[in-house]
Amino acid sequence: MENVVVKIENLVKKYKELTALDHLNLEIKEGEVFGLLGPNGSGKTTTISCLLSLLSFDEGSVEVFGKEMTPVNYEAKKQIGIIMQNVAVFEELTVYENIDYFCGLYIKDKALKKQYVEEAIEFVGLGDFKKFHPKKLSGGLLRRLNIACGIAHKPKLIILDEPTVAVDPQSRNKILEGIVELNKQGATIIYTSHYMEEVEQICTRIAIMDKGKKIAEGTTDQLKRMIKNTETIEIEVKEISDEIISEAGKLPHVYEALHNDGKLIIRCSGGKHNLIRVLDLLQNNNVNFGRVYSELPTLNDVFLEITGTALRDSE
Amino acid sequence: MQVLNVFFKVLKKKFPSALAYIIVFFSIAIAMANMGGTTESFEDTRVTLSVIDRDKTETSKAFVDYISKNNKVVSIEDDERAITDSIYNEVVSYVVVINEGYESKISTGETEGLFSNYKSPKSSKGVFIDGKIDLYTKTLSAYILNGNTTDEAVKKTSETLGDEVEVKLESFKKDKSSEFSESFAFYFQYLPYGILSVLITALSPVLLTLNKKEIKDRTNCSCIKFSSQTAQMILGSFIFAIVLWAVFAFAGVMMNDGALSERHLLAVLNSFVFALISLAIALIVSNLAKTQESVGMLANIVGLGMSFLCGVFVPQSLLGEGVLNVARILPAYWYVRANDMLAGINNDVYSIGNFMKFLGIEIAFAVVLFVVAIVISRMKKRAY
Repeated sequence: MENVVVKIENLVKKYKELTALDHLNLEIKEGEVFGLLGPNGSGKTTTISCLLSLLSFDEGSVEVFGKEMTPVNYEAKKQIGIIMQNVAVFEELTVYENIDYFCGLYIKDKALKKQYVEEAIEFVGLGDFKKFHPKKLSGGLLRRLNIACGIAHKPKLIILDEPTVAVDPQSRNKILEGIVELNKQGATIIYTSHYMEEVEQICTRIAIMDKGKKIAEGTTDQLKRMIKNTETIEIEVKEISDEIISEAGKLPHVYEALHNDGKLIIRCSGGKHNLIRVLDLLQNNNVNFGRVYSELPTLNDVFLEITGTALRDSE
Repeated sequence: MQVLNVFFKVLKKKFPSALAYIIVFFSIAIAMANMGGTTESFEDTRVTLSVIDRDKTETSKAFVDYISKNNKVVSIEDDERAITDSIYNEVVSYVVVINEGYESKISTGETEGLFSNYKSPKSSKGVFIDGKIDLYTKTLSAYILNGNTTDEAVKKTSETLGDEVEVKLESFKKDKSSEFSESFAFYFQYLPYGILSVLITALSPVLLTLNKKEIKDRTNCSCIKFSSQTAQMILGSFIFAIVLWAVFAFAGVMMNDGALSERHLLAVLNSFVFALISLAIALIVSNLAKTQESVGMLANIVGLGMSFLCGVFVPQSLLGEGVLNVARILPAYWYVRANDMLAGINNDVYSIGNFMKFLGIEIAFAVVLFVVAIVISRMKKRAY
């Protein structure tokens, strides 16, 4: 049986009138890349803060490595690496000094610390920037430094809270590759993001959060299977009559057809060759159309179907 | 000692911003010390003047003797053109013309129309001579009106006004027994400004950095105990404050040629307690300031404000009662009062008991300020 690294039961956190976390339950197993997906304000960062005992909570319990997590559970803290949403480094120290400082909070042996610091610098690809101060680094490099500071001591559990916010695509890919590599090296990862593509790309299991609640949990496939939608067809159509839209809605496996913003959107549930049937309908009715897209369901569709709001709309 | 190490690394980067205060402090201290040490004698104002006696009586001659004393008398012709030329060409600053009938007028006690004087409108010395003439004629007139003959009145006036006033130079070195040199007294009087400004400017930004939410969160997630983090930050702050005080105190002692009497040692002790007060104030500022920029602003408000109110820059004897009443609720007031007493430049009688009373008040301030710093820090932690 796989070891449970993090167990959160009935967690409730309130800020006066606002319930930030509403009876949240999570179980994260050793070796997983666990994604916490949700719009801004859904409770992801609050969950992480409670998990790390940075915040007190009103109800429930948090266990890390089988023991209750408290501010003084130093044994657990020793095995956790944290990469915060906001870059947490000293402007006054160089890249090397920053990593050395944060690694030194865990590793007392000087030789071992030096080795770990060098390895972390190598891992995030900051070898050429060791003597640079953070102000001299680009946004992407700064994020990498932030990650290096959190992983240098080789933790067993790494928590990354939105580590790719405001990062260019190249650095984002590098960061995501790094996370997968850390997982391969044996670390359990908790990854929070509101970018569903990232979560889909690297997470082995995902919990979707909204308004402090977990609204769904499972692998990407499991989550997608939870919803009716199996295919979304989008066709650029300038003009189309209501009759044809209504006819499209009656095609086999189609459960929704609408015309919005110059696009005919058809949502299908199951079935094959749905696209061909829709195109035939348009051709038979002499409807001119432009580009055609056919997409399998995304996590956004999952979120949309469960909450009635698109993930991006609610940010 | 990871936190302590990073404390000093950050301090190294922040310290240059405090250098400006150190330079200002030493410049003021050295300038004031040099200015204060040179004036050791007094010389009455001497005016170059001419006296034209048109009355030519014994009474007018007595006045000529009086006005010539302590002034440089230059002879000029009794001619309107010659008089104005000598004033215009700055040969003399003042021409006293004793009008004819001087004796007869003054004998009745009358003081109007005795002179027709000329003076340079730009010269302040004219006012001085006006005053001297006025004093003489009014004194003479008073004696005459009191029943003296003109001769008796002239004699008594000459005796009265001829008395030399003994001028005793008052300066910082008022009380010889204090053994304080002026430079030492000045230096330690300005010290609160230096220590307070440097501590706030250098130390508060370091604590602000270490307590930045993101950094604090990351450190709190590590296996270093919270109490250990706090202890290391406090230790770093104390080490810095003590080293800074030691450097300032050493420089002060060196300015006094290294001489250390009992009073010198007490002044050094006084400055040490003030360094602790400054440390507590810097801790409060680091808790109140939201940005690094606001620290500089607070350093100026607290440093300059307290210095002006409490008599660091201006002697307490020159401050109004209202200002002093406000100053009494500030620690620098008691520091300055203790220092002034040691230097013998205020009305407090020097005694160890009095010194300990002032020092005790300062220590009480330090304790209260440290408690305030701790309370604010805890309130902030709770809020966050």
